[in-house]
Amino acid sequence: MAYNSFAYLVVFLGAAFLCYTIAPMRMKHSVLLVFSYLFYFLNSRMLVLFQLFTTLTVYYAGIFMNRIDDGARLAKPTLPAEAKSGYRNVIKWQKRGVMLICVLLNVGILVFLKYYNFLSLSLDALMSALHLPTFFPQFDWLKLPAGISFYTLQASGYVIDVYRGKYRASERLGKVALFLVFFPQVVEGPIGRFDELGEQLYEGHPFDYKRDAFALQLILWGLFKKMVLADRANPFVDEVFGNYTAYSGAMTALGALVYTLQIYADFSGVIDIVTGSAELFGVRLAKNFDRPFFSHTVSEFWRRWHMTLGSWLRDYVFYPISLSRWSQKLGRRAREKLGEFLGGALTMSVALFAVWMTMGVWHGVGWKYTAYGLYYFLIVLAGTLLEPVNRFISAKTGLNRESRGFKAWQILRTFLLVTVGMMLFRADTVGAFFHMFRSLFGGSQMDVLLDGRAFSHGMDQSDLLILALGAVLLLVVGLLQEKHPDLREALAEKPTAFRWTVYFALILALVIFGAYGGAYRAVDPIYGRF
Amino acid sequence: MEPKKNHKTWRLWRRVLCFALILLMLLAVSSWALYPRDNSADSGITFPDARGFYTEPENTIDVYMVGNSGAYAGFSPMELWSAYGITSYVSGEPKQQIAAALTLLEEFLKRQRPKVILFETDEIFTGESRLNSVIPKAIESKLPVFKYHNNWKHLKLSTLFKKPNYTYVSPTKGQAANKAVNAYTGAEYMTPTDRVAKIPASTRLLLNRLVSLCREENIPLVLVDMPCALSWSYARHNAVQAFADENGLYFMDFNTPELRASTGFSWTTDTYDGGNHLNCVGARKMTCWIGDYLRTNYSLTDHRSDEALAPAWNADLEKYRKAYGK
Repeated sequence: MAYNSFAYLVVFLGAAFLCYTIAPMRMKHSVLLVFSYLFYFLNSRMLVLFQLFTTLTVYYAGIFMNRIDDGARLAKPTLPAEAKSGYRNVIKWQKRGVMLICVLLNVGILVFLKYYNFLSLSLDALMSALHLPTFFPQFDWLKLPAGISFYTLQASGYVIDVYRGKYRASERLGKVALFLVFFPQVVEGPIGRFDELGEQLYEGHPFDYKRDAFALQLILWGLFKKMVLADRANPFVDEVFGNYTAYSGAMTALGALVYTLQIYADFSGVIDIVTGSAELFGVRLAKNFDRPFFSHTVSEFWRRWHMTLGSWLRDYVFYPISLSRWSQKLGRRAREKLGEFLGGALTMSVALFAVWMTMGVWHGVGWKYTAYGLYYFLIVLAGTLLEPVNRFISAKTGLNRESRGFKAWQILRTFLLVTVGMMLFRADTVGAFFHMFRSLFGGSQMDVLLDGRAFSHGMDQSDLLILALGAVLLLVVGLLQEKHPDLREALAEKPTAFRWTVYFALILALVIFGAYGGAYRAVDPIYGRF
Repeated sequence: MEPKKNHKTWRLWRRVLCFALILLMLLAVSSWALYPRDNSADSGITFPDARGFYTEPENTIDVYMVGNSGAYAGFSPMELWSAYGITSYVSGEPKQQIAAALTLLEEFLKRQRPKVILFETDEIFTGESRLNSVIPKAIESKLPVFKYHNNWKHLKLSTLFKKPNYTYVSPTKGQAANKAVNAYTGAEYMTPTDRVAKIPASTRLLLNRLVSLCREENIPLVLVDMPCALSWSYARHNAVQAFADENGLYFMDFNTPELRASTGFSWTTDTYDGGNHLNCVGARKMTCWIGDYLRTNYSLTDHRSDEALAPAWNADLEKYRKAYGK
């Protein structure tokens, strides 16, 4: 059940909202839990058992760690002073053991279901190349439960937070279950934190007209992005990337640009729909996009794009590695040998490498995703290493790095780097990406664009006009949000005639320009595959 | 405090109602603006052959078939005319859903009074006739902007305030004829079984609507399934036969070995895409069998000596023979 489908928006969400609204306060979380499991079952059928397994293992791991802590609290006063340090270590290792078993079990399931066939094929190919017998069977029956990549991270984050003592594990199974299966976010995120979401989901919220009107506005905006822009771009993108050897120059560039628009409109559009869906129940999900194409550097881009994944990787991969004893030791040695700057960069690059590799493979199965992670790792590392050079050049040339012109250049440069990254992300293989990238500088194919032949490849001139106007609208909305971070509040203060004109215009744009119906193929959300 | 709360609630509901009414009006105006003024591809009609009946003289079509691509490939109005002088039209669309078939039938009945309606049953199991499409299709029929929204690309101010002017003529009367031969070489797919395929509940609702529409119009309905090795099965046959029996309808399933044999059908010569659709030869065999059945069971007129109809139909038949042979 896609988040932009009639069945979800009108039937399912409508029924869930109605039942939630009329349920007594103490039953509202149960309503959400029932609808969440129903949603999951409708999407994944019996694969819901994997979701339940994760929920139960995470819940009991949390309870076990609570018991360890409680036992420690009772035992500590009775211990002699010299034994307390050793005892603390024992407790820490016990909790660590529980946490590791739980995390490895669930991540192991994700790795097996998602990566086994790819890894076995790759290993078999390697064995073949070395003239050794191949013995890794392929399992065609392996299927991915919906949102497994998202809820596994969310579950792991919960267990790790409990281990770190950030909060006690919840004693309520229903609360943990609802945190992991809440239907608006279970398939595509945003990746939530239990201390931010747990209580919100469980406490129940009465009907609030303003809140629910804002929620519907956000859903409408998300639908506009997904159905008018993203789905409209899809046939052209499919054509250019599916037949990449037939295109070069301007056509390939246009394909890359349109795909960048598509993936942003698709992912952020669906996130708006799910965020709005959650708001209907009084639940505020974490922000996942913050006008990423206004970024000045690639690092900043990834702090504004898929923010919850970035922050998860920061808190559960980057910091544990960079703050670990061996990393600190490596850092000290590196600084001694290479100096403060290079030594620090080397140490940081180890943690960064882990982050970007994780980010790459999390997105999908295939060497292309590994290359995707490596691409951004190299850019971020290059940015760090070249910073002193940039400062030197700026100082020598008198370049004002705070000037508007320079900032604009930085935004354009970041946009281009990100577009190349998106080209790699969408290309069928790494080889296809390199072919496409080389072809950008090959035949220009400007004539194909100018004489209109480009408009028989999945996109006509009207489609391009809509996409261009849509991109301008996104830019305008982004600029407005720079001044008014809460645009919906700013809009609410305008006169009724103005507000309703905006709403009607958006609804009519969605109805008339939406890419749905007989002439279009339904497009699954891009991030729904993970 | 209570009266204040009631007043606030009333104001809220008034605002919601007002918004909904204005939205409805805007959608109605958009529906009027975007409704096709012609039945051609230039006006935004995706499958003009299915709507070529708009240009047929009124009340001249005696047999009407509606269905998916199985219908427009497997039924030949020109062959029916040639063999029996019966006038017919086939409205087929790729991946048609039953809701769309109903809409087409309703449109057809505004212009024609057929004596028999044939429904190609393949789409019972292959269309997306589920919750995701049944209700939206119902909304579409009342607010056509949801169906014809893409016509903004073909919108011309010059025709906006004019009445529809249908110009597209289908010389084959809706058939998508194909001369190519590409044999089906797979195994026999109609092995008898007791299994009965499931007809989704929402599809059944629409089928019941189709049956009742034909009863209201007093037009006999006949169920037909053209040979299709790639999508049909005995379980599906059983399901449709059961539906036909419940509703007192005749079901001619050309997939069954018996009926295939009696038409002289051959998977070697009569399909153009390896068993999915029939070519001209296959369509002629099915149509001749259907024509014989119709002539025997219904009072259908042989119009070959009708001076008003025959010249135009004979001219179309000549074009058909030139293009697709005998």
